[in-house]
Amino acid sequence: MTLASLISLVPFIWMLLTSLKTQPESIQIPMAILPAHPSMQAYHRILTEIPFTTFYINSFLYTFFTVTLQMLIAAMAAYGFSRLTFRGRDTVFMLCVSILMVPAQSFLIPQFLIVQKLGLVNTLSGLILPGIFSIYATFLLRQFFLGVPRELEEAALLDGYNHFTIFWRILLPLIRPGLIACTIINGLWAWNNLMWPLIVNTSVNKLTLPVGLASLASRAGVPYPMLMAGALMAVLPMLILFIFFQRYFIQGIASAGVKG
Amino acid sequence: MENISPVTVNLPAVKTVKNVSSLERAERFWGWIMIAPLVIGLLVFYFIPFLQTLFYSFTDLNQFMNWTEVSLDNYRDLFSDDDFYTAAFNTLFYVVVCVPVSLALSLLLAIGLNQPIRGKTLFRTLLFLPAITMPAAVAMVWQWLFNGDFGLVNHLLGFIGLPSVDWLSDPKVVHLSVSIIIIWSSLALKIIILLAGLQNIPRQVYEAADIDGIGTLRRFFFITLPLMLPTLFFVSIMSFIEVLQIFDVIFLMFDRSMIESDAMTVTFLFYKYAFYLQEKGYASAIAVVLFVVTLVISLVQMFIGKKIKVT
Repeated sequence: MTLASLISLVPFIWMLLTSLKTQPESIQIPMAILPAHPSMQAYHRILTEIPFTTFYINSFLYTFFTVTLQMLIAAMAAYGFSRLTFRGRDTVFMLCVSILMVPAQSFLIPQFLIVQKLGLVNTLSGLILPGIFSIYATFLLRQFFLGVPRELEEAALLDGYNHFTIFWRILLPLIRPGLIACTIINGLWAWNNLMWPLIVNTSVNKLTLPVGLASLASRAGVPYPMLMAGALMAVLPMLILFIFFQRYFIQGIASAGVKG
Repeated sequence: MENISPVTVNLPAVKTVKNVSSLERAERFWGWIMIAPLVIGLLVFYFIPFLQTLFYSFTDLNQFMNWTEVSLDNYRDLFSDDDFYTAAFNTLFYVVVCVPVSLALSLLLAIGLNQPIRGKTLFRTLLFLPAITMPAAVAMVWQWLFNGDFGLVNHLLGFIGLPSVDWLSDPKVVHLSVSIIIIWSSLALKIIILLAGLQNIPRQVYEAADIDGIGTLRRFFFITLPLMLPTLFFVSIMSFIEVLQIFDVIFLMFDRSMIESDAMTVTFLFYKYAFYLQEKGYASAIAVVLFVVTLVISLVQMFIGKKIKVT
């Protein structure tokens, strides 16, 4: 157990140690494990020589808008699929869920062509658009809605509330743990997503962090301490979130598995 | 008396029926309104694109979206393309190696974490870290760890007297290196799901086993394993599909020439043709093949999944 924990930790420690080294120190033979003179130079260089701050802002905006819209659309649909009865509901739901069986690559080319046709290549909107429709989030939130007792909305209906008000005012606050878990997991996916941002946004000022790092790595002669500093900074927000919201991370991932 | 009772029962009943029907109408109306954004979005960005991919796979689609029908040519080319066989072989290799190994390791670690040991919370946090790490960063740091000249892995091997290995440039070991990275980064997610499954096993089952004096190994094979079968099965399918679509690590770890010979996967081949060489028809055929394989695995899952639940 100790060994396994160490192995999962080593890459992070290595990122940190390398990021504090100087370029010659990082590639010297025999290798030095600890930096002789720890310096923040690599951090300074990556922030000034490369539009790293822009990548950061792009990643943040992409993640924020994707998840917010995703949650709104998914929660509405999850309410419809779990609390309201109407003809065709279950058929439509099964059809939607069947999408989960299709690999992302089977949608990618037409999705790109749509975004291109709408003139949204290299824009934030183009980046966000297809991802806001999440059947995965809908599926998960539906499970949480199913756990709420029926009597609650019956009383509200008799008081003359409509279904949207009931959804927004009564049921949504009740499934807050589910919303938080789902937001965190989908936020993590958006933050780490490589393929779609790689395809849609190619101009330097529109890159997200994963794509920015990839383009950095493929450029010849970028020093390792800088790359490691970049990698560490890209991971940092999720690391901090994870430390504070561990319970929700784990709940989100676990409920995906147990109920799947 | 007998005449009265139907009347008194009927009156409120009629009223309820009216109420129910108006409530039902409201439900139907709001039902469609609530699911409309999702359903329209899925139609436009998922269902129709999927059909388009099917269609494009029978065409030659150029950069300007003009297409000409080529019927089965893309598929014929694909199945006589050496690159495709290399990619398929590599993908299969990763599936065959990574799925069972990561499943066994994660089960072992999940069982370990489920024991009352000291420092459990710390172990748990450390073990879960890879699950939240950006694949781009993972690939980058492992590329550095595996560096033939100044990598930490070779340094440690030297420390215990073993020779250096060209982890990322020797075609004989490159698959192994990639597998190690895939396993490292996918363990955490599986541990979380398996741990949740383990915690769902009622404590009484183990208590009864303790009274009967059953040993650790038998406990594992006769109690834990059978009860965990559905969860294990779900995780293995999830892992299958994940490894089948492995892209980030391959894309980030190697320079282009390397990818084309030794480590590329089917998804990388798809990316190359779709967005690099601009042969979208051919790429669509690759996507369709990937879909068919995924579908077959999903159907097998449903079939076996049903059997497991019965027993």
